[in-house]
Order: sequence, then structure tokens, then C-alpha cells
Amino acid sequence: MNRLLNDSFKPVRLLCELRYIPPDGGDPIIRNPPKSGSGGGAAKSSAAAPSLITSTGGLFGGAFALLVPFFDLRTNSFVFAIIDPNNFDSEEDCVYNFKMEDVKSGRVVDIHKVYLQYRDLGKVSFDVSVTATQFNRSTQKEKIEVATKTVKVGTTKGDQRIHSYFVDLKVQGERPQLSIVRKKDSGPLSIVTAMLIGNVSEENQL
Amino acid sequence: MSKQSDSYFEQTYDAPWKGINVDLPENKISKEYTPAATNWIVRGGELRTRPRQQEYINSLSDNSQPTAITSFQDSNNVVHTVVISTTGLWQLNSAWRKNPGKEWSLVGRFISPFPAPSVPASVQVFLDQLFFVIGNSNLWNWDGITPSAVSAANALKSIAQIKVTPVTGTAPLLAGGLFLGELDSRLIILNTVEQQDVLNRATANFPQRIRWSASGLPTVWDPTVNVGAGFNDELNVPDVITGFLTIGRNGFIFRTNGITEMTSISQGLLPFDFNHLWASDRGIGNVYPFSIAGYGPVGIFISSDDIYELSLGGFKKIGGVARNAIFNDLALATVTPIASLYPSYNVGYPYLTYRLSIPLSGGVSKNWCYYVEADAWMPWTEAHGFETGKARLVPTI
Repeated sequence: MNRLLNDSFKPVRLLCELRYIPPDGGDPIIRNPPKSGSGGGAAKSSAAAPSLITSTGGLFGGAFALLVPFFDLRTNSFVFAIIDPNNFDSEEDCVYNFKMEDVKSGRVVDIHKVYLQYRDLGKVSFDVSVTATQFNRSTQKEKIEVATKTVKVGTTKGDQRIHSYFVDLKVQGERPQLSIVRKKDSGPLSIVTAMLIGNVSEENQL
Repeated sequence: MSKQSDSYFEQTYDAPWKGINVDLPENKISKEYTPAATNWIVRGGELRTRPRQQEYINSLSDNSQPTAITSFQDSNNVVHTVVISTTGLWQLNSAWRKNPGKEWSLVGRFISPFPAPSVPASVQVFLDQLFFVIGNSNLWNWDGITPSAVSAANALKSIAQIKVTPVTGTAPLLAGGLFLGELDSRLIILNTVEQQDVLNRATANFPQRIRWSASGLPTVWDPTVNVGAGFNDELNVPDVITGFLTIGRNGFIFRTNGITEMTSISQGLLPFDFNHLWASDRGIGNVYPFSIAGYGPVGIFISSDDIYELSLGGFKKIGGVARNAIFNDLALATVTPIASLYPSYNVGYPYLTYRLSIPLSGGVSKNWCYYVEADAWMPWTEAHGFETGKARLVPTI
């Protein structure tokens, strides 16, 4: 019995061969492998075994990028851009207008501070503005009041921590609105919280 | 007026950031919205300047217009990152960083018509091979292998051929089109362009036609060769096919004024059932042919009245409070907008985003981004150019 088993389970060598079979059911075509270095590009070699057909060029598939086919008017060329999530220093102006505040309709508001919580991703410069509408009841005319401060915060490498910053600015009027403008290439800005701080008048409307 | 008192107030703005809201006056929206903003991303509860877009890889050596980018893994498990341009098919070389100016290798050049139309190419990977249509009468195929050292075969093959009663000689009918997909192991060409393979013979466009290959046989398109192949003309609807999406075992054929569900029913003579989802003459459809984008069970498209998300759960309007601003920009588009739906910006930064790129006059483009997780719209701007194909996460090494 043992001898029978030993005879039955002798180690054998299997020859593995890949053949191209045309999808319309034609005869299989057997191709010889190309010589080393052929096939263009730098394909991941799969020609270690005989009878394999190597690929033309190719990649390992080890790293990925979000590629955007893009026509660049500055260079007049069709390039491939990436949207790089490791770099938030965007190349365009970033503008964010917060909600216009009706703290109490028809009331004048004094804004004297803006509080910001931000994450330090690197050095950044941006403008903090508050706009309000001053309404003259006797003339029924309006004037837009704007107060702006440029803020420079952050460290060269960015410590990735959350920091606080107070911006002192004064503006008076109805419907104050906070805006943040970060000009292009002025650094990465990440706002966690923004706050308008002020007083609202309680004077008689009549 | 006598001043009675002043009361202290604070107004705090923080997460969740919900993006653009033009549905109400700017003093009536809730504080998580913005009436106007550009170039922010709201991932992780922070309002962050958007990721930088920058040139990464040089143009193709003939500076032809890329119309699609994708990647596929061939039967040797080798990955190819390829670009379809108006002149041919190109692939990214593995040593592209070390060889400036030689980043891309031409795999195969298109023949008549040359250059090809500059419409976005439609791509499908099937059986470890790349298939694509470019708006002319060819279904192109590349297996990632030819040409090899022992093969002089053309790398690009036009493979959809149908026997016809010969008008001139015995040349077959070639079929291509605007949209390509796969359902039930069959390749599907929609809004077809067909031409008898004879030099200078005019092409014919069948904007209502759907052709499918035999099951598992992407080179067999002739029903007289294999009854599994076939075609259907949507003649009972008044409009043209503007896109195709598959979700699960269902295909959705988008028309300007409607959607037709394409369901696999058999392996015989009638493999598909076509069901128009609304009986009305006008209904939800896809108005912009290249605004459809899908990722897994989610598809997004633009109809005449809103932007819709299509998923296994049905249809959902997602234009929301930003819809009017988006449609204002769509009305100003100088060429057809292109949309992408990508799951991540790189492997370490997943954030499912639908990005609708709208070229405007003066070379400026506005890219409306819908952050699916946050259910928020935010426009990105590009002052110096516009997208020519769908953005795609592809291997670069």
C-alpha cells in the first residue's frame, strides 16, 4: 500500500503556458516571448516563464494621482494637472462671504472684533473684512462701511495644531457681514471657527 | 432718538459648512451656508482653501488635445495609464520623471478621420483590455500587449464590424459612437456613428441607436455571426441619447428628455428589455452629454430642472440651494461642460467629489464641486484654462 502511494504521488513538473485565444473562437496563436528589453517603456517583466507575451510599457501601479487633462492658456499647451491634497496653498484667490447678519432688523450694530480659530498648515496671509450698511433715516440714503485688516499667521512648516487669533476692527451699521479673502499663492488657510463680536443698539426705532 | 442700551452679541460660524446658498437672501440663510464663495473645501469640518491645482505631467509630444485619461491592468497584470487624444492613444512611461519631454509614448495613431473629433472619449475596460469610442465610426481596442517584439500588428484596432449588403466591394460596416459601456458581459455603444469601411464614404450618425456585442465577445457585433449581438433604435422617443450609466445589473440610457432603463433579461435573441421610465413627452433626462459621472452605486447628471443623484435607492435632487447659481453658469458655458466623480484626491485623501467644469468666456472656467459627504456645493475657479476631459485617479508609478 505504502509503495503504491509513493508511486502515485511522485513530484511532477507542470509546464504553464499562456496562449492567446481570439474571442471569435479562432485557432489559438502561440507567440514566443520577446527578447529582454523589448516591448517599449519599462514594463514590469513577466517574461521569466517561457511562452509569456510581455506587455508594451506599463507601470507597477504603486502610486496614484488625480490627473486632470487641462488646457493652459498661459503656455498654450494641453497639460496634465493634479489637484494636490498635500498642498492647500491654492493658486487662485479664495473668497468666503459669511452670512449677512440681521442681528435685529433695522438696528445698528457695532462690530469691534473678529475671532478666528484656524489650523496651522503653514504661513498664510489673508484679509478679514466686515461690511455694514449705514442708513441715514433723515435722508433715506445708504452708505457701505468696510473695515479690513490683513492677518499673517502660521509657521513655516505648519504645526497642524489649532490656534486662536483676534482681529481688531471697527465698523458700524446694519447687516454686518464677515468676509475672508486669501489672495492666490498666499499660503494654506484652514478655518475651524469664525466669530463676529460686537454690540447691537437697543434704541427706539421710532 | 434716545439711546437706551447696547447689548453684547456674538455670532459664531463653524462646522458643518454647507456651501453655497442662493435660494434665500443673504441675510436670511442659515449660518452654515455662504451666499458667495470660491475655492474652498469643507472636508473634516474645516473651511480650508482648496488643494492646489498645478501642472504635473507635460503635454503629449504633439501637443494634441487629451479627451480622456484612464488606466487598466492587462492580462499580464501590468498597469497602463493611458491618454486618448485627438491624434491617438498614448501611455505614461514608467521613467517619466527622469525623462522630461518623453513622458508619454504613442501607442497607436488614429487613421481617417485624423485628427479625431475633440469630444470627450468614452472608455470601458473589459476582459483586461481597453476599449474606447471617440465620436467617430470606430470602436478602438488595445490589449496593453501589442505591439510586441514579435508582432507587427497595429496596436489600435477598430473592432466593431458588421456585415452589410455591399455597396462598394465587400467592406464591412464599422461602428463607433459617443458613449461606451458594459452590461451583462456585453460592450454597448450608444449614439452610434457608422460607416462602411470604404475610403471617403460618408459616416451616418444614429443618435437613438444602441448596439451591443455578443456576450463576452467584444469583437463580435454582427447579429448574423452571433445572435447575442444586436442593436435597438429608440424610435418611440423624441430625443437623442446623451449618456449611459450602469448601476448593479441595470443600465440607464440618458436622453435629453428622459431616461430609459436597460435590463438584462436573457442570453438569446432579445438580451435586453428597454423601459422608458416616464411616459411623458418631457421629463427628467440628461441635458449636457458629458455631465454624467458615476462612481460605484452613485451616478450624477444634469437635467433641465435640477441636478440629480441616481443610486440604488432611486433619484434624488442635489442641486439644492445652489442650483440657481450653477444653472446661471451653465447658461454662460462657451463649450460643453465636462463632469467627473472621483472618490479621492490621492490614496490618502478620500473625499467623494462631483466636479462640473464649465468653460466661460475669456479662458476662465468655473468648476462647481459637490462634496457628496457634506452635501455641499462650492465653486472653484481657474483663471487660465479649462478641462478637456474627465479627471481620473490613475497610477503614476
